[in-house]
Amino acid sequence: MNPVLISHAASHVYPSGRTVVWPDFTLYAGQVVGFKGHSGCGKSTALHTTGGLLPLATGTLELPDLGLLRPGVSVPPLWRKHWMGWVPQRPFFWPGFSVLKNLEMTAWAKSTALTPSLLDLVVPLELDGLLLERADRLSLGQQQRVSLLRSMVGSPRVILADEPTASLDDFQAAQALKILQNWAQETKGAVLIASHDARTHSFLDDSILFHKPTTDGL
Amino acid sequence: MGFSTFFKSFAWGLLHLRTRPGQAFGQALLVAVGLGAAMGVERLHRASDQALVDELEGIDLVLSAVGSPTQALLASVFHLDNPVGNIDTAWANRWMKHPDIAQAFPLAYGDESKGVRILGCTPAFYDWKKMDLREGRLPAKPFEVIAGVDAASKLDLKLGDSFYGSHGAEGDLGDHTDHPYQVVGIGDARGKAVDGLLLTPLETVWDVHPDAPADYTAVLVRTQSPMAALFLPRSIRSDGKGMAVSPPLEINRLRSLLDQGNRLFSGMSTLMTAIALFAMVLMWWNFALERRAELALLRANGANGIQIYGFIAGPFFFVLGMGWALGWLAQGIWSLPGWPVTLPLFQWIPLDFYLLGWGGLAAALLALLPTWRALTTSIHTALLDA
Repeated sequence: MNPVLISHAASHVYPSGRTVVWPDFTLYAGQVVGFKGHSGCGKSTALHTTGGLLPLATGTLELPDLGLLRPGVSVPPLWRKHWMGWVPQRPFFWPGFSVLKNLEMTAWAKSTALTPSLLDLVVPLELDGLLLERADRLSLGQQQRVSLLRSMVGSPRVILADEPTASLDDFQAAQALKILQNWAQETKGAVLIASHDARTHSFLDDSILFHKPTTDGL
Repeated sequence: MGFSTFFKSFAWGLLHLRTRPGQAFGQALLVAVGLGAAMGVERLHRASDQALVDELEGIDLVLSAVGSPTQALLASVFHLDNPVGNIDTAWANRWMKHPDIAQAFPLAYGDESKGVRILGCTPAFYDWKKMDLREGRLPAKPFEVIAGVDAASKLDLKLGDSFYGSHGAEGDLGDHTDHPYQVVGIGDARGKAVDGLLLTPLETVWDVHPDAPADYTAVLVRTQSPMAALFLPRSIRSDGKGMAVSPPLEINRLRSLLDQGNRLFSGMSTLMTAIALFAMVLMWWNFALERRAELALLRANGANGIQIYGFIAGPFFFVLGMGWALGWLAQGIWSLPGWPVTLPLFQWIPLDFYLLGWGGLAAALLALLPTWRALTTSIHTALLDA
């Protein structure tokens, strides 16, 4: 199996001095991997650091053949633009914009364009005919699927999802996880989910346990 | 990151603005009021300046009775005030023959007709004012009158009409019902004070008041040289029978008066524009806070500072441009009826382009503030708050 992302001895230190350290892990192509643990144990911090949103205090993050994150070095622009996709906890959209506009806007942020293969996904995601509807007026299940589709814009290597099932019922949660699983297998990408939701467990190929409480102070 | 990405960011900002058209229009209107006021004031300033220059074209001195020089000038050149008094014809004629004086236009104020002044003058005056007639001919004998275009429309006078004047400029001391005036010509629009006058030979004025001396009210004078204009006033004034006003001196005084008014208006228009810009910055500052989750997701997806700046600056440029255009189009409201000068409406003046340039610069700089707010928000925190 090909590694997609390798995290080694990574940690983040907040300006307050709060330090979050997490175990080493490797994401392989086609895998869905979970950060497991109680809330407040640093899952979101680790997820955001991996996605290049927070600076790395120690260790390295590597996308083999693509890029490397090290402490004290700014995140390569392509890290966010090309290699990471995001599923926020609650699906939210640009107010007043259609589904298509929201997808196009994400493509603009990523300095890329929507591909036909991405738009083909509206059929399996049961979003056909909704592209021109206002995204913020769709049902919650539809919004969640648009949110998933949005994370696939620009063909990222890794999709990062923070509590993606928190606001969904059992059926919607299973549907969302299945979509992510299919995406990982078909694009040879990897999905990293931070969740304390037990419903995610059966979909995970691997999980990283965040059992340690965060260490305080320097 | 090329220009195309930057302009794409503009376009996204404008697409966002389209979801709130009322807000955009309201802001553009505020800007329009501020910039429109500035444009109007400048037009007024230029027009009144131009009017002062135009009315005095070729005039170096104004002879009048002793009194306020400004009043003498306003009365005899702009016909906006009552004359300071009359001057003795013999005395004035002597000065008109002075070798340093090239040309002279004696004027006599006569009656009024419903607030429109009847001015006695010599035929040379028509030439100097380039009075072209729309219809009819020039007066050939007393009591024949040509009406300026505004005077004709105000009094509803047509060629061949007769009318009576009322005594003096001061008020209704009775109509001169024994002396009807006859309209023999209607002037073309000149955009000058003559448009609002009824012009007649000097003799008309004197014949209406047979018991009064045949005096002039003022004499407009062109001197042989600028030096003469400088030195003549002292000798003219020496015998105490009249004075010579130098228009440039008086006009500088008038200008400084006008400028004070202009400064007040300019200050108000600047204030209004500043308020409009402040409101815009405030609104986009709030936007950066309200949309922090959406903006954070864009940044998580790689949107950089230039993209976010373009997104916010686009609407700034658009609203300022709209406001500028609306302000320019609104200049019709500046053509107030009864204004003594004609404004250069719907013509470009340099200020229009200065305002556009400064407005663009202001938009570019002010958009930095909300951009800074958006970029200094932590993506991590904003995404967790969502």
